[in-house]
Order: sequence, then structure tokens, then C-alpha cells
Amino acid sequence: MIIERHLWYRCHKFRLVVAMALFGAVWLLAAPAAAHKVTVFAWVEGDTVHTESKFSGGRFAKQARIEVYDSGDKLLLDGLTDDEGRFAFKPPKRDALRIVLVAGSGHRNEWRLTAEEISGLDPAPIREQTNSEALPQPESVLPMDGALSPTEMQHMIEASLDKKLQPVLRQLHRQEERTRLADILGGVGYILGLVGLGAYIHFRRRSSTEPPHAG
Amino acid sequence: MHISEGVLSGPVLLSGGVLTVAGTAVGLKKLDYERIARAGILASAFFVASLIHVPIGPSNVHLILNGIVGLILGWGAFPAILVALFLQGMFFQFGGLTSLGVNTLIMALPAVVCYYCFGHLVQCQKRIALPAAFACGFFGILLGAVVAGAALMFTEENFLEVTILLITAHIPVMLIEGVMTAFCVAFLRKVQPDMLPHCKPASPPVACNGRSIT
Repeated sequence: MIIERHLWYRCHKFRLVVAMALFGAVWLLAAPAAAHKVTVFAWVEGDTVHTESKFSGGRFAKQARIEVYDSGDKLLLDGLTDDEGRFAFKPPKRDALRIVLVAGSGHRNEWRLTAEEISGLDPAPIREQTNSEALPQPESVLPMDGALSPTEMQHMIEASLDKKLQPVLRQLHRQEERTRLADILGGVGYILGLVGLGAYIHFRRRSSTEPPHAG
Repeated sequence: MHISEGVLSGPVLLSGGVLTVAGTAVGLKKLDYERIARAGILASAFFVASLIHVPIGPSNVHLILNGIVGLILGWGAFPAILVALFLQGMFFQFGGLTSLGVNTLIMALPAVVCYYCFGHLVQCQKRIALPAAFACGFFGILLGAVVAGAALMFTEENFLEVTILLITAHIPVMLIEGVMTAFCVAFLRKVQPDMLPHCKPASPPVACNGRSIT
């Protein structure tokens, strides 16, 4: 009778585990990985630094405070994001920048721009953009006597690279932000490992207190 | 409910950490072998639940599940939530290492409070047990918001304002977790009542082969 009763119990315990697993699996599939974290991403385009802030899960951080610090932790400027989580500014000096997003209720994150990224900024208008329409002959813009100095050339190349690379960078950032299944399984694996460790310690302790070959 | 790194001041982080260490010590002491596996399952559930995001209401919130964790584990909620939060910080970048203590306190303290308030009610008749379970899930989050508000009070913001903001943002989650906790309790009452607190099994527990475990 006891054994029978016990089998019933084991059976339900098994069903409980299966039910929990199914419950978890359904939810995992139903809800796209989304979370409670705020991120800020900044990139340089032309002479402006653009920032984009969002809660992971895709919602934009609207009207959130952005603070920009230099390498000496001095506050350079601050402002609020718009309804699409964006905020753009022209950096007052060429230094490494720390862009801090303060989204309230304990949400905060930051993004660093290195001095090299900032030094790519071009304060002077690029020659090609201002002159290409005004001057009909391309020869006058790109004369053979070297009027287009190497620095100007470099600026042009950097400007177009910024423009071309920007979607790639954002895509990369987005990929990094996504929660991967491997992370979830990894975390659950760690917990199960700890349970195993706890059980191991328990049995070691018990076997060391028990007399050998008892029973 | 996760507070990011760099928001709180040193003393708040430190006192949160100390309280969490104390809670974890008590929890580990009470976590006997029978409950280790249980704590592991609930820690995993807690770990994954934060990825389930509730797109209702003004803010971006996710399930927390601290009510049910507290109900089943009691003080064991501290170590379970500490481990799960640590892994969330590592894998999902929620919260952070320095704010781990405060975040654990925010979620584990309400869990223990709920255990003491509602734990002995869930074994009563269904009429009382299910509302008690709902309240357990509901107040787990509500109290969490209050503790979070208290932690944030010392930095720049106003306690009442922040707490009310947090509570309103979490109302959908409170309702969902209340209902879920009630479902879990109804299920456990039928299937495995000894997982719920304050339950004396009718007969001594028996092992697979019918011998009693000592």
C-alpha cells in the first residue's frame, strides 16, 4: 500500500517537472527575448555625435537625460532625448567622451567614444559638398596641381566611410544586445551545477559522519 | 526592478550588500538537502522570468516571480535570488556587480515577508488559499517597488514619487504574478502539497524502494 501510494507520488512529481518545463518552453517561444535594461549607443557622423537610447525590448527611452562627460569626468553638456530616443550634439572639444544615459527609476547606462573616433570629426565644411554644384567643371575641383590637399582628401573619405559604416555599426550593436539562447541555457546550466555541488557537499558530509560499511 | 550600476551611492550599496549577505547566510543555513533541488528549479525560473517582458502599461517591465520563490523557499529565496541575479548580470547585463546586493535585497526581502504573511494561509481551504496566493504574488512586487524606492531615495530622487512611479509601472506585472502564483498554488495543492510551507505530510516520507528516509 505504501509503495503504491508512493508510486502515485513519484508519478506526479514527474508530471510536475514536465509541466514546469513545458510552461517555460512555451513562454520562451511566445515572448521574444526582451528585457529590463536600458542601452545607449553613440556614433559619429560628420561633425555631430548622434546617440540612440532604448530599453532592450525595443522601446525608445523617451525624454531621458543624456549627460556627456570628457575624459576628466567634467560635465560638458546634457539634454533630453526626443520621442525616438535620439539626441545629437556637436562635441565642444576633441576628447574621449563618456555619454551617460539616465532614464530614471534606477536605469542608467553609458557609452564611450574614444578620442580617435572624435578626432574623425571635421569642423570645416567638406569642400566637395559645398562646391560640387557651384562649379560646373570637375577639373576645377580636382585640379592636377594638388589643390585638394591630403587632409581634405582624408576628410572626404572619412565622411563617406562614416555614412556607409553607420548602419553596420548599429546593426552590430543590436546583435550584441540580443539575448541569445546560449546565454539562457548557460545560466540555467550554472544553477543546475550549483545544485549538483550542493548535493555533492551534502553527501560527502553525510558519508564522512556515517561509520564505514554500516548496515 | 534591477538598479543599474553607478546609480546608487556607496553607503546604500554597502548596506544593501551587508543585509543580503546576512539574508543569504540565514537562507543557506535553512536550505537543507531536500530543498536544494527545489531552490535550483526556482532560481532557474527566476533567472528566465526576467526575459519575459510585459508590454502593457507605461514602462518596460518583466516578470519577477519573487512571490512564488519566497512562498516555496522561505529564507532560501535569498541564495536562490542572489545566484539568479548574479547570472542575469553576467549573461544579460541586468543590474550590475556592485548593485547586486541591493538588487537581491529588493527582490528577496519581499519574498521572505510574503512567506511569513501568506505562507501559512496557502494550506487552508481553497477559499482562503487562492486569494492568499494571489496576494503573495501581488505584494512580492509591490514591496519590491517600495524597497527599490527606499534605495533610490538616498541618491537624487524623492521616495514617494519614485515608489509610486515604480508601482504604477508594475501594476500589470503584479496582477499577472498574482494570478500565476494562485495557479501554481492550486496545482501544488493537488499534486505536491508538501512543497508548500507549513505542511505536515500525513505519513513519513518514503524513498523509492519503500524504506523510510531518516
